Formats: sequence, C-alpha cells, structure tokens
Amino acid sequence: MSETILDHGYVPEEHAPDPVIGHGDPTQPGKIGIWLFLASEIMFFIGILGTYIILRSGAPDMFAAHAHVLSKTAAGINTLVLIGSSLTVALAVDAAQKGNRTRTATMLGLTIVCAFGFLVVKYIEYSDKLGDPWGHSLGHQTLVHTQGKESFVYDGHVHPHGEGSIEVKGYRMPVPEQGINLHTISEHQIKETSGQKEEETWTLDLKGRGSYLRYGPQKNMFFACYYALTGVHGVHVIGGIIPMTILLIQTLRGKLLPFHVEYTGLYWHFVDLVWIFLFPLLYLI
Amino acid sequence: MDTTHGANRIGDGHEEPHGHTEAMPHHRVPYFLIFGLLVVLTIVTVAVAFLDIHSEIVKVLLALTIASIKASAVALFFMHLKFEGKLIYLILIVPLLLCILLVCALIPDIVHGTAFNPVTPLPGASGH
Repeated sequence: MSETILDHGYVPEEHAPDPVIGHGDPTQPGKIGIWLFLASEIMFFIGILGTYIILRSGAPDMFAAHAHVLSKTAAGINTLVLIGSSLTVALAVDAAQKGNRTRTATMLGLTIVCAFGFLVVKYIEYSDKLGDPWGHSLGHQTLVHTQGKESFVYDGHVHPHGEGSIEVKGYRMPVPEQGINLHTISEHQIKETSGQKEEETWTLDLKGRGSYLRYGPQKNMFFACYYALTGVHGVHVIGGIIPMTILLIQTLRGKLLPFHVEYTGLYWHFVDLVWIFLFPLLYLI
Repeated sequence: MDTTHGANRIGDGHEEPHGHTEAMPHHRVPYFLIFGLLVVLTIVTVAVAFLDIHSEIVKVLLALTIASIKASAVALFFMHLKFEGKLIYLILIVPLLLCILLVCALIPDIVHGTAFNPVTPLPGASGH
C-alpha cells in the first residue's frame, strides 16, 4: 500500500483543499466575514427598532408630538453628510483597487472628516437637550414654577442666571386644574394651548420651582428610543473612524491595503444605511 | 494606472459574478449618479414630512418606502451587491427574513383589536 499524506496525520498546507476555491466560489473569506458581521448587525438594530415599533404603536400621538422638538435641519444635514461620506468611501475603495494611493488617502481623509462632522452635529443636538458639561446651559426642560398664587408650566431651554435663579426661553401655560404629567406633555402641546407664537424669556426664582424634567432619555418612551437608537448609531460612527484612521495612516506610510479598505467601506455603508432608516423614523413621522 | 488589473479584463462589458478569479475586480459604478439620487430622495423624504398627511399609516409607509429605495441603492451600488455572487445574497437574505418575521411577530401587540386584546381596559386608564 502506498503511503499517502493522510498517514502522517496532518495535511500539509499546499495539499489542503482550498475552502473557498474548492467550492467554486471566488468570494474572498474576508468579504464573507464582514457580510456575516453586517448580518448580525442587522439583527442588532432590528431588535431596538422592534422596541420602537411596539412603543410607538401604543402612543402614536405622543410620539408624533415629541418628534417636533427634534431639529429636522440638523438631522437633514447629518443625512447629507453621511451620504457624502458613503460616496467618498466608495471612491476610496475604487481608488485602492486601482492602486491609486494618493486618491485613496484623500478619500479616506474626507470620509473621516465627514464622520467627525456627523458627530459634531450630533453633539450640538444632544447638548441642546441635555445641557453642556460646563453648566453654561441646563438643557431643554419642562418645569413647574409657582409665584404667589399663579402656577405655570414652562417648556424651553434653561440657563443659569446668577445666584438662585434661572432663565427659561420657550413657552408656558397655566397649570391646569387636574394637574399635568411632565413626562407626556410636549412643547408642541404647551405652544398650542397657550397660543404663544414666539419663544419668550423669563427669569425665574429657584425657590418657586416645583418639579422639573430634562429632555433626556428619562423624559418618556419616545426620548428613550431616540437616545438608544441614535446613541448606538453614534457608537457605530466612532467604530468606523478608528479603522479608517488606521488605514489612512497605513496608506500615507506607503502601504496600500485594498481588501481592508473594501471591508471597512462595507461597514461604513452599513452605518449610512442605518441612518437612512433612523432619520425618517425619529425626526420626520 | 490600470495596467496590472486591467489586463485580464480585455473585451469586458459584462460582469460574471462567479466565473472570474481576478484578485481585485473593480466595477464601473456611476458613484456620483447614485449620490445624486440619494440626495434627491433625501429632499423628497423631508418634503413629504411637511405635507399635511393625517393618516399615520400612510405617513409611515411612505417614509419607509423612500428609505428602502435609498437603502437598496446604497447596498446594490455602493456596497457592490449587484456584482456579488450567490453566497453574499444567501448571507443577507437570512437576517432580512428574520427581520420580517420579527415585525410580523409584533403585529398582535401593534393591533389594538378585540381579537388580540380581549381584556377591556379599566375606566380611566389611558393605556399610554
């Protein structure tokens, strides 16, 4: 009996069947890997979106009323920024496959700039609601304030105003007899009830302040969904910046990695894809 | 610029997803055209939001339809899905079917009908 390579208990690499070519499929293993990862990412996002669907269907009017508070302009700009970055990363992949190093570096650089632009706009949106870490702004709040016998519910942006008082810029209405729920009342509702056309500014004594609530995830189900979805998406944007920066540095050092650029590009398109759905779901409907 | 990889693409004009063993295939995709389409569709989505549509379902379906067209454009052309073989489609179809399954499984919770929610709410309970 003749000796075969199997008698040695191992298969030397050059004789091992190629797992990819062997099946007649020329797709690179790396590409299969990144698509499998994206498949799991789809399931990850549909999980949170499923929560959003359930909660929205339970209170569609409340969701629609609160969506008015979010800035359509900022989100629209961010949509264009992400679509633009999708274009530049597609051009980067194209250039990398053609072996054009300068163009790859330029396009990767532009994509990273767009990614940071997206995060800056996101920070502006978040700090508008939550306030900034330095305490110059206390964010967007709903608060009850009593002065003498009059009680008002205010909704607007709050800034500190010297010792023991705050400045509220927004809308107000008298507290109704049956009381109010700070979680469900929206700026839109107060505006409609009071008939106030423009934002006004009031300086309020902190002593008269009753309960107050920031437009954070604690505000209500809509904002919990908003922060969960945009927050997780924002983390994905940061997760895209890191490999793109590494690839940019490698490209600038003279090492062009076309496959890596392609896989990172696929991930980045996915981040854009998620935002394409989040934008209308959270801001527009 | 194109000498190394362009050599084995002489007489191209049709892409064969399965046949070629070329290391780095690159496809002629009209990237700027797709980008233009995406920008136009974004403007359409925003414009639709400012229309006075009262039906919640119409609003949601319209927004999701436009978003799906945009997503398809990104996936097909930017992600080169149009040029991929069966394997990538196989990987992609599984989570998409599971997404549909998940949303279908949510229908009993979405529909506020007596068939699905037989319990009568207590008087005064808002349900929200």
